[in-house]
Amino acid sequence: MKRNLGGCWCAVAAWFLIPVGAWAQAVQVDPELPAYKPVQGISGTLKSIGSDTMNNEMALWAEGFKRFYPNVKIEIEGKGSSTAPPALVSGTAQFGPMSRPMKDEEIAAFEGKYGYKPVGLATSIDMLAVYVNKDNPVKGLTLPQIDAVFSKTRKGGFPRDISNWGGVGLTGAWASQPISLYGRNSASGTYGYFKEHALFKGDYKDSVKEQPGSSSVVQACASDRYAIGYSGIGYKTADVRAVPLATEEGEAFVEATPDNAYTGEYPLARFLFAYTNYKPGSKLDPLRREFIKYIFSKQGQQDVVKDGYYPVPAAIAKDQLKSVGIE
Amino acid sequence: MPEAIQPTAGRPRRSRQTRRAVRWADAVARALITLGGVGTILAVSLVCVFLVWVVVPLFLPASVQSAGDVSATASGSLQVVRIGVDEYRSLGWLVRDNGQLTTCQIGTGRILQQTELFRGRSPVAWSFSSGEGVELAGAFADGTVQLGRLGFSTSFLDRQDAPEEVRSLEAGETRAVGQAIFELTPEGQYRRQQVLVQVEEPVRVGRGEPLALIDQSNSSRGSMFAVVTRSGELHVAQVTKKKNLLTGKETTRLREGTLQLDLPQGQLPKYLRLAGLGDAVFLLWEDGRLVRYDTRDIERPVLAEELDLVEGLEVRVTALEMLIGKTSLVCGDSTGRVRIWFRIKPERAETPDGSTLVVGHELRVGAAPVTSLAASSRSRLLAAGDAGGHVRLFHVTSERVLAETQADSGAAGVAALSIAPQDDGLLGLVGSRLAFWSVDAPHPETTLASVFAPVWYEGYNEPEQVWQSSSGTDDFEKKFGLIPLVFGTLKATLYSMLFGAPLALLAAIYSSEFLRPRTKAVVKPTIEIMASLPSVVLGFLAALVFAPLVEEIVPETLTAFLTIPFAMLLGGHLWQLLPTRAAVLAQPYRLGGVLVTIPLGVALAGWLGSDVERWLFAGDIKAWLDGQIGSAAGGWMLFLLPLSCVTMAVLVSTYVTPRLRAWCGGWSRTQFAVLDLAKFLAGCAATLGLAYAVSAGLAAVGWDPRGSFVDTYVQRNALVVGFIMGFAVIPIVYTISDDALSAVPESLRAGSLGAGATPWQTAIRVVVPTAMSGLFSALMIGLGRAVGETMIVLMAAGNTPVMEWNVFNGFRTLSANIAVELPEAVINSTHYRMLFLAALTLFAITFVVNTVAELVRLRFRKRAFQL
Repeated sequence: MKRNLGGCWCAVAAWFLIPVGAWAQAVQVDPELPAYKPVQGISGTLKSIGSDTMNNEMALWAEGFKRFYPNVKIEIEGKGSSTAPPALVSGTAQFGPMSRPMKDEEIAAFEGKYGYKPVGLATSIDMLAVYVNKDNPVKGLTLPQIDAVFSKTRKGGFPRDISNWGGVGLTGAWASQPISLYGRNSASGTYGYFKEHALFKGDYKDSVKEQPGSSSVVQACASDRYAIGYSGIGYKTADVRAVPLATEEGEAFVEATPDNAYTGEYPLARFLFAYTNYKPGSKLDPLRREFIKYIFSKQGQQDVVKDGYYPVPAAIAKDQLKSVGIE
Repeated sequence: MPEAIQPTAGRPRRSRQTRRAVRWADAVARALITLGGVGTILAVSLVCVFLVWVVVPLFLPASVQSAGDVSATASGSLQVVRIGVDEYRSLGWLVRDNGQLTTCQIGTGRILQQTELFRGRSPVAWSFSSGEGVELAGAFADGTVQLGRLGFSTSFLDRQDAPEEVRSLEAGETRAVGQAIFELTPEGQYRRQQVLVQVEEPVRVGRGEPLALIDQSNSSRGSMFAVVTRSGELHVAQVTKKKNLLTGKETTRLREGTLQLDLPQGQLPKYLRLAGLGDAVFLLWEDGRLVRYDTRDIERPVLAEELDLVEGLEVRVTALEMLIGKTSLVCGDSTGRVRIWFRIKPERAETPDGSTLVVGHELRVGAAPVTSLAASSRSRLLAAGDAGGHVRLFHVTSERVLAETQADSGAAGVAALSIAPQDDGLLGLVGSRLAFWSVDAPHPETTLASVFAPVWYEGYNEPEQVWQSSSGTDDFEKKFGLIPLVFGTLKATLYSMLFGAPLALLAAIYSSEFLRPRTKAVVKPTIEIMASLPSVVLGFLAALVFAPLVEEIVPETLTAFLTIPFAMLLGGHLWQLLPTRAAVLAQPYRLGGVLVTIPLGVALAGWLGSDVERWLFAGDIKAWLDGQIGSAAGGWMLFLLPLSCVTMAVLVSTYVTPRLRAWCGGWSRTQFAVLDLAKFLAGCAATLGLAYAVSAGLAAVGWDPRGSFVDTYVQRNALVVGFIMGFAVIPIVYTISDDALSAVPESLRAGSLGAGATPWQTAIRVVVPTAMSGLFSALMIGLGRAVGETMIVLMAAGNTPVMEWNVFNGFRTLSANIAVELPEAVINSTHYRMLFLAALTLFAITFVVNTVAELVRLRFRKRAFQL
């Protein structure tokens, strides 16, 4: 009798643990990024509603920012990227972190109220990783294979549906095991991004188990031996493995490493955005201005690394600051 | 008190009048109770009214109003190839086939700008992407292609920077100044909007042969182009760009392919279209012949299929458009029909790429030929104009006709149409005049049929009921089929009641009829405390502890459903073996004895589990459930064992027991107990034998339970949820049933016992029928709890909107769906209102269940009173 109670308790523990700094050692922030210098007279309350992928990242920025300004209160809510636009439109949040760009429909809702479009700041780089259990021997997957695993419409062009691990080339005891699918809820930007880029805009199978957060996807892959799931690279733990990916059959598999994200080789690399309401040509209020400056400072980008994502280069940081009128 | 009525009999005489205070209290109480009752009804109806209030706009018709003719700008003999409007509906544009672009103000028709797109060169073929910023491409007779972009430059000016003539504008008004349009925004700024055209240098394609057709598309795979030369050659090219974020260096990769087309009678196709993903090229001739090439491998395009889009020799294709995402072809023909074609992947496709084009939707426009089609750049809206000047607006997924209108300018045909980028306007070229309609269609995708009946979604093999409400891109076809969620709710209820109801009812009967009052005083509150466990805690346990645990021990879990009752019954029979004296002494501790049998049953299950797996499920239950190995007999055993138990119990009690009783009269208690034990064990063996025989029979006939109630095992499944939700339901059903049973008058019990009935006979034949109305209420309240339960299913059911009864698969309930999706739904969007419709449906289900329950309960109560 193989009753794996130990595993269960590890799983319970993993639910609480935030996988900070899993990959921290390898990445360096751009030395040209300016160090953050505090200014006088910053206080007030900031509220951020949006992406769950960026929840820890926002928390780290908030923590770092509060070290300079103890009087500032920052509240963070992360239920999914799609919760950001409604919050920005209604004004309940000053920042809307999103792991995908806004849709036209969402921009229109914002514009209908304010007359101009919201500004999306590319704050950091994420690689959307496809996770399997750490015992899983699969070498790599092509995007059409992933599409055939996750999608019922198979727009990627893979000739047949894949429902067993044998379908992606595993042999022996693994070959006959059904693949257990885990994914995010539809509010998530990760859900939308994965659907667009890995499923070629096709539809998820009904059997994809929707998890409320990135960490529960990773946790499910850790506790379910035959699982496959997707989440931001920042949530990687020791119990799961990020599968190397290839764009199509015949190309080399690309590991989810920082180098491959920057060179654009990894097929599922993306920007993580922080949306905010900026009236074109105006001056931002000091609190938001300083917070944005902090995000794009050396410290802010070090927080990005601490959370397991990748920092933006100085040139991009400068462009982002310019887009909200900070020179 | 007056003297005259002084009491005479020596005791104080009672006043016959009710005291004022009592009457007053009575009136207050009556008022309060009435108020409370009416208030409750009012509150519930208000909730219902509010739900209906939010839901109704989903089904209201759309409105299309003429915002006036723009102008007669399109006069002249030159053909117009494309028209469009900006997202603020202030600026219209029109491109003629000589490459001339004209922009004008919507509303007044004032011409703002006239420019040559290609410095006077006239393309022989055009391609446009839809949307606000239009990617355009012109192909020329000299074999070159020019790419361009028609966009808008938007800037915001403060009052002091704005030109003099616009400062008097009211919010919402527009005014043309030079080539730009100004509008006052709600924030008090002036928005300046102007057309911006960028055209790249000409690029030579292939060997530079004269071109005839062109199309382009952009996707995550890169930009793709396709051209057809006048000599009938198809060229496809794909450009993939990768940008290095650190160095800013872009690497481009170009891949090309060429193919000589097979031209019937040397006739070139009329239309060339590239699929949005660049994996297919469509060529369409005027007579309806369509050829599709598979371009998944750009360098080697292959002929995929050939078919006729219109039936009949006379019928011509008169208009072609692609829906958003460029996956569906919209084909309008000379009989006034609009058909939507998309690719599906049937089981046995004969094409090399395994997909075939089918007609997914057919929209009837009228008798006049369809002259122009326009697809929205944000949704599945489609506008169609015909030769009679009629313009109709459809939603493709729901096949709903949203509006139908006719241009004022007589019987001229509709030459071109364009849907405004925000789906709030429609620009049409009717005859030589531009007309503009403002459109208000907030919820075009919902009809009762599209919500509750199967819908044929793009790329699906057949019409299906699907719930996939949102995604990260605009070209996603929203799927609002509520039935999978209703199904999930019913499935959750069924499995949790299947587990919870018998346990709770039997527990109530046991504790009210057999348990010592002192023990009951401890047991009942303990079970009631279970009800106070927050359901989120139960859900948490189910998802993180229970689901992974059960996954490891599936055969043991299934075996336990049989071994635990077996152990308990065996315990009862062994108890009878005790000598009379000992039995009487041990009587108060009988419950303890029962409790010991449960772990024994569990241990038995653990011990037998792997043998059962080997015997029934070919040694690997998950592979067996997946349908890979083993025979169906094992699965039938699963279902038939309980049935066989019941059959055997009935047979034994009607045929065997009376005979045995006659035969063994005068035996001692111990002898009788041994006989009873033997009878029980023989019954068990016979049950197994019967179940196995029937199972083997059914399996031999070829029936297989896999695929219906049992199928592939998924970790988050109905068994786990049923188990844990059973725990949430048990306390409430138990408490109410116990109260109902305890309320049965003691006289009935005493009468029955006194007449010689055993406590069991008394409980089953006297107490339970009398308390039936209460038991039924208890069940219904438990049912209500199960229908509305959210947290447990949210956390443990996997939330997969699948429609199968498989107990080893998950589901998505209405309530969990509302909890998951409400935070992301934009207020008053279709999605938001659909979630309210889900709530209304849930309300309707509970309302029907409760009403039926109340009617049944009243019948039972009447019967109980007749007793």
